[in-house]
Amino acid sequence: MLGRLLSGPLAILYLGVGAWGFILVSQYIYLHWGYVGAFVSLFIFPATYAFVPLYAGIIDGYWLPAQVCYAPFVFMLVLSSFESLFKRR
Amino acid sequence: MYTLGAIFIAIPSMFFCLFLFGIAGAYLGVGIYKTTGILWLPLIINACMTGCSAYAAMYFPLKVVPKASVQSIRRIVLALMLFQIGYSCFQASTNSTLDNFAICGFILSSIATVVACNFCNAHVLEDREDE
Repeated sequence: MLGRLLSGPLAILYLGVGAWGFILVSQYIYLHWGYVGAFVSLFIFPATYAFVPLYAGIIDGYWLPAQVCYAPFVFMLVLSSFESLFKRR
Repeated sequence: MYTLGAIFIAIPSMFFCLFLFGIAGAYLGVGIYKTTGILWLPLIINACMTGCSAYAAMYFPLKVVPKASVQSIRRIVLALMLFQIGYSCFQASTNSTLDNFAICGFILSSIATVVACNFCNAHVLEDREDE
């Protein structure tokens, strides 16, 4: 019951962090490669969005997109590992 | 009496839930605004968080009151939120100290609360029919 009540806010937080990461990466791409780059990366090579945060961190030292984009996955992995660790058999 | 009692239980629990969820939403919203300069996303996140806190706060009081009180609580919440929307619009029309961002936030939060209250009513009534 409590899980049902808390799953809504958690889902909103996940969606909010995802949107934040998407906007940060889009702004970075737009600033560095212009409108054409943003269009190409969004509609033709969407996988760019997965690697641009790392590129921004390594090349420019701008680690915020990487933190925002990869943190939910790390958090999810940690939570799922805890779940599998304490699961009743 | 059941209606009043449920409202007296729901209001403090809503403040508690709002405190918990609102801090998380505000923290995220400030981060988004400071790094991207976008205002509409924090507004939507905080409105959704207000709706979630209203749902969580209304759920347990609505489970224990009689079915007739469930509908009256929904109408009371709707009236309160309409009052809040009207008061926000009045503040926006006059030269108040509140800025438009806060007024939009109040209006969106009121709409989210009404929607969450309707969802909560529907879910509680469904659960009661199953029992």
